[in-house]
Amino acid sequence: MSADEPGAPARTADEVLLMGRVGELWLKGRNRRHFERSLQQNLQRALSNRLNHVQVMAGRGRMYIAVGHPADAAEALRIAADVPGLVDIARVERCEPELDAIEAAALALVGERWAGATGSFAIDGRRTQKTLPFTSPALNRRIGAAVQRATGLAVNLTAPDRTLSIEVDPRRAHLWTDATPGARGLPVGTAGGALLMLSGGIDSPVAGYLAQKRGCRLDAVYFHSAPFVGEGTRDKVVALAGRLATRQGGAAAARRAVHRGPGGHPRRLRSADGGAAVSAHDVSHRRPAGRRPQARRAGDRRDAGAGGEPDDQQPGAG
Amino acid sequence: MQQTTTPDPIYLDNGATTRPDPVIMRALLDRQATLFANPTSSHRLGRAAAAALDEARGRLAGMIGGDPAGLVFTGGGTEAVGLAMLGLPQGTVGRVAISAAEHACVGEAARRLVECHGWAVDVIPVDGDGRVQPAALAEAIGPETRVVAIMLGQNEVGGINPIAALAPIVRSRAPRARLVVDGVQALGKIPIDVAALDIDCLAMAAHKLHGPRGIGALWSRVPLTPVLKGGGQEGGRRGGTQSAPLALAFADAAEAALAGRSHLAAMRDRLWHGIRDRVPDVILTGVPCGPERLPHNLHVCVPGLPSEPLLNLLDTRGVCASAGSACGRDRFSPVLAAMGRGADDGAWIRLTTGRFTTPEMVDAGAERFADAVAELRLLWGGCP
Repeated sequence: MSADEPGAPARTADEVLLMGRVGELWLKGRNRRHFERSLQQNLQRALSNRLNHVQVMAGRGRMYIAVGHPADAAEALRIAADVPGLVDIARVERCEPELDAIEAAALALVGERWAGATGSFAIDGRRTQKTLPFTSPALNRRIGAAVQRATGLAVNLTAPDRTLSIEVDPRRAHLWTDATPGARGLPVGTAGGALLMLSGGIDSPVAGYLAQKRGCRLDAVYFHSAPFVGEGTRDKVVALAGRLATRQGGAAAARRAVHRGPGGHPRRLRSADGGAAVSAHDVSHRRPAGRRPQARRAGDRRDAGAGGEPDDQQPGAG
Repeated sequence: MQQTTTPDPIYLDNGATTRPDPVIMRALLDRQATLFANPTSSHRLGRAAAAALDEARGRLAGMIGGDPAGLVFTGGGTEAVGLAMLGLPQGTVGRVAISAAEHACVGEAARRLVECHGWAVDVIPVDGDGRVQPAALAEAIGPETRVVAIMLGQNEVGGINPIAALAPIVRSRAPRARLVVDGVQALGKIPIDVAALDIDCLAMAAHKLHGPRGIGALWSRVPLTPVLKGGGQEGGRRGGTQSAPLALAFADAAEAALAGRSHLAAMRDRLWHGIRDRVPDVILTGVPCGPERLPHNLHVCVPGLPSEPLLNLLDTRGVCASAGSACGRDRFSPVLAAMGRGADDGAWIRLTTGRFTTPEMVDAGAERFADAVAELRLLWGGCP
């Protein structure tokens, strides 16, 4: 993918830009484009399921997210940080890749974010290419001096209280002060699919999440062993499936993707918008012949869910 | 979500809470418009609210034969119990005795005394019917005992404790103790006379009587130290702006409940007979249906079956019941355990009637209960 965004809509004045840094994708050689495209799509779906006017663009090792409504910025950041594939993500300011423009943008940014702050700071500036007419140390010295004059804060390069990060490439510069850790891992879908045996316990959704972070797209199967588990457990599984679905660009609510398969056969389902790849199935279930009631009574009736995990919430008394 | 069609719900969980009486709720809404003022305000609207609050206080106190000045409105039953057990003179340390079948809020208040104020706790054992016997009480308390908590009507298995026979033991064995009685399940179900029963503190709540949620009361003839002081309301015993409309609705609900209480027993008995006719091996838990049992309470055991799957099958058939207290899910009932029962004895189900329970509901409930038992027996007991 090119360094800029072909066909990207013109940015409006109050639009907020987020920049996510892509992690392991750099390690993947010629597959990088495939990985980046998956991540871009996953981010776009996860964000568009909840927010309007959000556009995800892929750059060189970076994902740029233009948020049309500034009030949505925090929510967009939270959603994107949850989608596997980004190392971190920050709200950034963008300017021309020239020292004067960078200095003006830096002063505006720290004027807003560091107003009234005390203590020390550092500038963490870097060039992505050596074709630029200044070196990284020169950039840091120049911006550092300007910030120090403007704020009166002390410089501390080893243990600063706050850091202004600057990244300059030949086409533009990005500046940010606070980055949120991302989920890391690989974009969901880049390592094929897996069928998750989802129960009401904690182990199976965690296993599913870890598989998602290694790139697996999940479908989930849930054996609803009614009446040995209650409807409350099914509701919880649906909620869990929904949480997993958002991480692979699925719909926030997986409820519509759950139904009772005719004749008790599980069916592979997708939600109405085609986005949810996690679905929970519901099959009628009878205790296997030959299993004695005593085996369940002793307290292991809690393992009625798929995968034999303990169910941490047994619905009981109303 | 596609589902098999669910039958109309049959609400037989009135021990957990009750559907608010529409007449009372309409009156409540009307009074919210006229009696909204702060009862401590000195202007005319405030005085009207104060007068309404006092009217409600007088009616409720009158129902239990107590002095209206002893009645403190609270946010509910749990708060009333907490105020009775924790509202002690500053620095009091001693022993607290609670019956083994108390509601969780009593146990938690006792635990607070132990953990925060250095008290010691004694548990008064209950008999096989979940009631406190005089001999057990006499053994559990002594001169160091400062609080004795014994509920009037047991919330799970419905037994009525013989408070009149127990109170003299408290007076003789623990003369410095206050007798705290949780009357939340019993109010409006049986006549209560605090003087005849020799009760020091009686806790009550409106939501168990088809009244609004969010209001309860503590009647006390002993001084109460406020848990929350606030603006000195309720005679300095409970801070927080009172609601005259809620208080009146509580009084309305309690009076209506007491007037209609024979219906509860009639419906409960009809339900019991309906179930017993269809499921011959079903066992009634606790004392027989009669004057020593709360009139709305039916608690049964179906031998050989597990509780939770039966409850789930009842749920899919629209029957709203419970396996025990609504406030203690996810574990075997401590009350049944204290009565010497176990989870392996069978399926434990509590069915509780209300003023809006109809004969049709009860008959359908008994039939669906029998269907659920039959289905679970196929799934559970039919295997070799």
